[in-house]
Amino acid sequence: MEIPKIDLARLGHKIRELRLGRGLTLNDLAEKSGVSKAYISDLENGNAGKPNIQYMYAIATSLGITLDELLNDVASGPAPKTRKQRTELPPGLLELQKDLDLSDEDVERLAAVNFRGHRPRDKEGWRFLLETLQMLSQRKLQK
Amino acid sequence: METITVGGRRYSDPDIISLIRATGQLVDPRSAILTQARRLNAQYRNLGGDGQNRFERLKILASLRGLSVEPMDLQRSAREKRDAVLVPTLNGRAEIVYNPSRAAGRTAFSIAHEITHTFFPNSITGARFRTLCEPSSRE
Repeated sequence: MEIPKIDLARLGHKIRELRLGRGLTLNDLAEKSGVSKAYISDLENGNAGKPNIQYMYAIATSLGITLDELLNDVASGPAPKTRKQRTELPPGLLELQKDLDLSDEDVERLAAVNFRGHRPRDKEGWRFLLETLQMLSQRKLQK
Repeated sequence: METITVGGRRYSDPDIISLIRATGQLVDPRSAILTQARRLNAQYRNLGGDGQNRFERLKILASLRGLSVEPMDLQRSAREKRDAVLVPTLNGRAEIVYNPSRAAGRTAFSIAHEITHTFFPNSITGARFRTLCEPSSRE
């Protein structure tokens, strides 16, 4: 009986997104689920190896979802387009989105921007880029 | 009333008919359910489920089917005749609520029974139309 394999990287991204979406730190989720912070961190980074269902269940329950929802769309193989866009967000941008309640469209526009040939690597870098772009667009409007 | 005959047995329950149709061929509905149960069990074991704690295992199996499992509140459990019930939730999902005052074995069986409802494609609460069945049908 063939069971679809789980894409660990995709699963890790999903857990991180869900955790951040609920405003939880790694410590918060570890405390709620009873699963160690190190394991959750490894899981989020796709380094935890084959996931253990008991731990996954504890994590899913702590995030307020079922295993079906957690494992849905994390099977190996091509992901839906929207999902792919979300998982490819560079580091820090998702956190900024949560902080500032940015729309998905804004985030995708930001993700497509290169600043002086580089992309920001953390939340503060993205915040600086966003503020710079906002300032420039205001100047343009004033002219 | 629409009926499907498989292996000499005639079925008229709309959910059973949907179940047979979902297999894409004329499969005995009992076999169709067993296949799904085995698949769910294989998924559980494939993810390292060891099955040591019966109740925990059922909660995980239910979760794999998109259901949470919660105890009934005291008021309901006092008047509820059933050991476990599948109920829709406000967010469009469903959950199994069980009567914590019943014997563990009965509760476990009933939770497993409720999980099986999700194998029917027609509705979240599974086969609900027994009164519509033809008296001569076998389900």
